[in-house]
Amino acid sequence: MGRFSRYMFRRPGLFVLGVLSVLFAGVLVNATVFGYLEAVRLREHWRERFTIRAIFREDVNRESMERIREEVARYPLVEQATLVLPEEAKARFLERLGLSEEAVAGISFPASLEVVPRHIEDLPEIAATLRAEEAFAEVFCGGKEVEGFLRLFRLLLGSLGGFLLGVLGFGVFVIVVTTALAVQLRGREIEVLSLVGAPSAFSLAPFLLEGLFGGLLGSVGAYLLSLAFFVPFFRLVSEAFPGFLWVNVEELLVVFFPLDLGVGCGMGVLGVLLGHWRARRRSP
Amino acid sequence: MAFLEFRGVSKVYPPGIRALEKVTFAVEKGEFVFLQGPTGAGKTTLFRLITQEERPTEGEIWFSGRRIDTLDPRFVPFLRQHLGVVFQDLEIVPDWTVYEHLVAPLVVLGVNGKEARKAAWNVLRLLGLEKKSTFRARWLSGGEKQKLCVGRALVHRPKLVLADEPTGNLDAASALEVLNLLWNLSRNDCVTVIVATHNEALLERFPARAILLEQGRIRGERF
Repeated sequence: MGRFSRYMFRRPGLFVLGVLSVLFAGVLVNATVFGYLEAVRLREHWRERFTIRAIFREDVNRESMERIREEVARYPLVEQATLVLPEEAKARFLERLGLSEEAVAGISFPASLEVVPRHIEDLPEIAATLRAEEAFAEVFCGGKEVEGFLRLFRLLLGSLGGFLLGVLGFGVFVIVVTTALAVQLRGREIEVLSLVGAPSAFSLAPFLLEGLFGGLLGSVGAYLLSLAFFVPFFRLVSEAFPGFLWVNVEELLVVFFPLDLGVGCGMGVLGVLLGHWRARRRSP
Repeated sequence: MAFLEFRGVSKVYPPGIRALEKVTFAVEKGEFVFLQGPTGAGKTTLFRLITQEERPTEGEIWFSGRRIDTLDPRFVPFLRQHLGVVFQDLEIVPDWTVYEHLVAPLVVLGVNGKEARKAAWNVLRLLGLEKKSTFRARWLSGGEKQKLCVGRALVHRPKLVLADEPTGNLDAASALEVLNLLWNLSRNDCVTVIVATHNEALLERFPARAILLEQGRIRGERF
């Protein structure tokens, strides 16, 4: 252990740089994860609003409707499929508009199937499958507003994913550079150790431990910073916007802890392995 | 089979510089041998072939009953753990202390802390460097650095000691002291020692075999 700590504190600047890059990446990862969880929560909320309505043709009998409902309910993308019979459709219509039965005398209300998707982005695919079914006269899935919303949602998730990858890549890059620099600065030490019979794993070990330690320190720092930000933030916004669907802060912090540790230690070890490999490859 | 044996070993560096040419000799266990020759004769190259820092262009090298010139690179560290080398360019780390240099080969071998400390202090006393154990190598004089390098080569009790111009930076008295140390090691502990030198005056003082190397070829031997 003495060997490791001695190496670390001889190049404290590089070590601190590595820790800061993990901390910075950890905070950004936490912010991204918060954004993602919030988006998923809103998606769950909106999912019920985005229901596909498939109108049965008039010649389809009740048994066929039941059979089709069961088949549709078995689709992997479908969360729920409900059969709405003409009587129920009529009752809903009257209730919604506040009309009496006489006002709609002579108007027929066709039976329909209401389909709730597992994920709202699957809406167009389910609608296309239903349109291929001959039993339906028409399939409604929200029109242009829904398509616009879905595009926006896909863009949001894609950007979050890209941002997350970028942040992780940047963090690993900083550690690779600092490790390669440290290996080159310690090239003499590594060379001498190699000449007295140290296998390459022996010279790699202090760097690995340093990466792991730096990653651990950075991730704990990122967690504490997130804690310091999110707890007062949620207190404030839940008071200001009580009706909004906020992610539960306790759950969020439980997710952050293992995530930060994993990301920090992973970045530290991966960065050291790549940096060590790069520095050794470049040395004569 | 001899303890160390070179069989027709040649080494050609790109772009065709012949450092060694058909070198053949054998050294027995516990033997003390001088490798004598002028600068550029190929003494350092010969040592680098033993430590596997270089591979021969042709020929075979045998050490302790094993052929080492074709050794898998993964096993080279284990070969080096049996060697004690005093490098001509010293190979020391300026930031390390004297004590850290002496302990390094023992740490690599996995010797426990107490034994490592004891062995390092024995060598420090032997070389008269005990008062400088905490000094960084960069603060030492040329002669002290050379002594440190000798100490590092002996501290782990290797089977074979290769000393490349070990007295180059030393005054006459210190040079004799270091060579006496290596001589006694060979006599008392049966360690094989090969000393490369161009200092003929030193050769006269030790009744040892000398291999004469010139322009990469063995020109003869002297007893």
